[in-house]
Amino acid sequence: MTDTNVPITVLQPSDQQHMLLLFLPVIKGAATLLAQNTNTLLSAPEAGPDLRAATGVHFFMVTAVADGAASTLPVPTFQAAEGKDLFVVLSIYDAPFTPYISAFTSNVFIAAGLNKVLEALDESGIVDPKDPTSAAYILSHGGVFKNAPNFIKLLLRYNFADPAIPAATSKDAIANPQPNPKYFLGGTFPGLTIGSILQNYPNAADLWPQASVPITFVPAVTAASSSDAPAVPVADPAIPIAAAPPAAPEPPAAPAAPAAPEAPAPPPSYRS
Amino acid sequence: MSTLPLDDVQGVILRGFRSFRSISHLVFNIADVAGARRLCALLVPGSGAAMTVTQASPWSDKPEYCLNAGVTKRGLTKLIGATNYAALLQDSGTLMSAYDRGADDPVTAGIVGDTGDSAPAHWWQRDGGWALEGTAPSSAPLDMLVTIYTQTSEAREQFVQTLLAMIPAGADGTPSVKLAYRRDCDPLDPPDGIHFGYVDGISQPRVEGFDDPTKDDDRPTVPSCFFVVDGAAAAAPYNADPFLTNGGFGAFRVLYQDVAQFQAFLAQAGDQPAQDLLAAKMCGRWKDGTPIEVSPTGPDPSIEGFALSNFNYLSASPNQKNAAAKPDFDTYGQRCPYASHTRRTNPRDDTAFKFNDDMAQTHRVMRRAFAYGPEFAADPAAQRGLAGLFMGANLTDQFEFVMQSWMSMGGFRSPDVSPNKSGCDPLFGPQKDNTAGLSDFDCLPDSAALPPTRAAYQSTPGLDRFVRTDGSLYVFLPSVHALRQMGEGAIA
Repeated sequence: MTDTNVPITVLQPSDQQHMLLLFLPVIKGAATLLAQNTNTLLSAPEAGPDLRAATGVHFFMVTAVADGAASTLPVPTFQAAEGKDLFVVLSIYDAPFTPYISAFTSNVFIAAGLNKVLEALDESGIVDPKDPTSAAYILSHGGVFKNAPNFIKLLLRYNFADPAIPAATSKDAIANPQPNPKYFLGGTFPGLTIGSILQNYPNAADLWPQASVPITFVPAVTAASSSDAPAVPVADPAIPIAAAPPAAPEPPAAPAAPAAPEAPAPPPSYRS
Repeated sequence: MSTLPLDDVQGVILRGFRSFRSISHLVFNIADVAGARRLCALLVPGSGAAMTVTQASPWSDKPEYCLNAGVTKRGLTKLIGATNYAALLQDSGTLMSAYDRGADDPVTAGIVGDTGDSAPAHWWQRDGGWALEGTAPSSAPLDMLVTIYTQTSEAREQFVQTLLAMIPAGADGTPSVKLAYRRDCDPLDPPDGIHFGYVDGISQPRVEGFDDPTKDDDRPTVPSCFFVVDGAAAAAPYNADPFLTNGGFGAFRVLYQDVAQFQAFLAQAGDQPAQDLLAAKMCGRWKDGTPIEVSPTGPDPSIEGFALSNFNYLSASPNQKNAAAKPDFDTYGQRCPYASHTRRTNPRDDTAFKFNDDMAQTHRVMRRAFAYGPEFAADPAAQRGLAGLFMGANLTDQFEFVMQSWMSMGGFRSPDVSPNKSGCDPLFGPQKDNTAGLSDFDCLPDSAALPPTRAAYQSTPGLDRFVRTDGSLYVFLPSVHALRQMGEGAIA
């Protein structure tokens, strides 16, 4: 990208966007606690150096699904395994994650928060607790801080996304078809990293201060807004997942994934 | 006064041996395990053998030689057995994951950048060091690394022969451990110089509990567990089996340096002062070692000792030289480009570098590499470069992280408006098979207004693969107690 006036035809790994999509099995009734812990983690950047730009997280979404909860749509969506809750994490981030994994997990504060995530996991019927990649093993051997590679393998077990698939335009997908693609991740502007965006915002620190301030999201008035569904996706007060600070690094995304092996098939207890 | 168990730690991990500049790296194949174990036992200090490993404890008298020993995964597996090795891996997976892969593994090669003409398939065969008769050069038979440091080439040869004579015979009557590769290093002029003309080895991590505090030295110390394995340390991001405790891990690298290509790149700058400035911008130091951050207009002989490393990029350290002359700090990489070798390998206080929220503490690498081959002017066609160890307790978080995230990839700093987002390390240059967007070196002229625009950058095209990997091994540098146990074929 040395010439700004020609189309981008090559993207180095540092400029590629990827998706993380975790389906974490959680102890029944623990999803709420996990959501609270996630919010604690999200506040971490305010305590130390501002890492938001460096982490390259564009967007993230977390949602908790209680055991037995019905789909909120007239079709099956995220569903918990019987007797467990489900915690779903979606994130779009810049660059390969492999080099960043240890950096996140070696952050004592973030690692402690990730331990809380592991404490909430229910891996019964999925992996032997003696397996070094199990939550139980990791927690009993010093936690995430001392077991970063095993923690990554744990995440890969529940990551539907493939960190090797970059966000691309449709033409990319046609020109470079992957054999048996797991999914197509569309990128409107492939290579437009958080860092690139911020180049045009020298006052980013003023617009989005590290110590986040509340933002009023003014509802758009549309035809849909007059229906029962809110026009603006507001956190359901019944599920205490507070609106997070903008562009904050999203914790489970940090250790996401090097070139990933396929996640194992979900256990058969999933209900349709 | 050190708080570390120095008698149990190999000296090379903590000490530079800087006055021992006639060096021989000897890589061996274990042909007979029983004999190799006996050799390990002989190398234990106090064994009574003619040569033993040098400990990190202080000397009363300067020794005639220093020696360190390491083993590859293959070698360690032979010495302690596959079952014991598997147990170590189970207990210490975080620490051993890269070591277990090995330097010649395709995944490792991809991470480190050993691709194209630096790929493992080409190793050990281009510099004439292969010595294992009847075999083609490859990493497969390489089990042990022994490095001997002496003060003269004559002494080096004497001690190499002494070591070779120590090797017990195997069952077939031939040496149980066979020399497979040898690479000697000799001092250049200046003695700490490398073939590209820079003085090297200036900035090494200061180790907590080993390096004594020095007045006016602001440089942070790194917890010792990042170099000397100590799984019980609170700061250690790993678990470690007791066998590994007080040991270390290292990447042994043989790095060919293409001086002709490097000089041709610099020549584009024009006259000698312009070339010197370009070389300083690429390295982050003038060729005499003066940091360009501290002395942006030229070398400054008054800056010496730890002052050569006592500086930051975003805010001056309390005793930083010439700090008063810089009302605004180097946030935009105008004095020392983000892309420069020194800034990207140790970004210090620049927390805008991806995952540098701790003064790079968790990623520092201890370097013990020295020049080999004749001066370029004496024989331009000869093989030359740098060979030695790049050490840290955790190869993944330290050596591999720096090689991949900070040296090979651009985009490690945000914001960075330079046209190619700081591309790749300009002293190493891009991989031959991946030059897109990486073949320019961009730096910001002193006259550029701040904050800079992309158009303000000066690009010098033609970065090439100036440093090529000609060999690499991941080795475990055992503690004295582990070396003793290896001699017994055990881990406890």
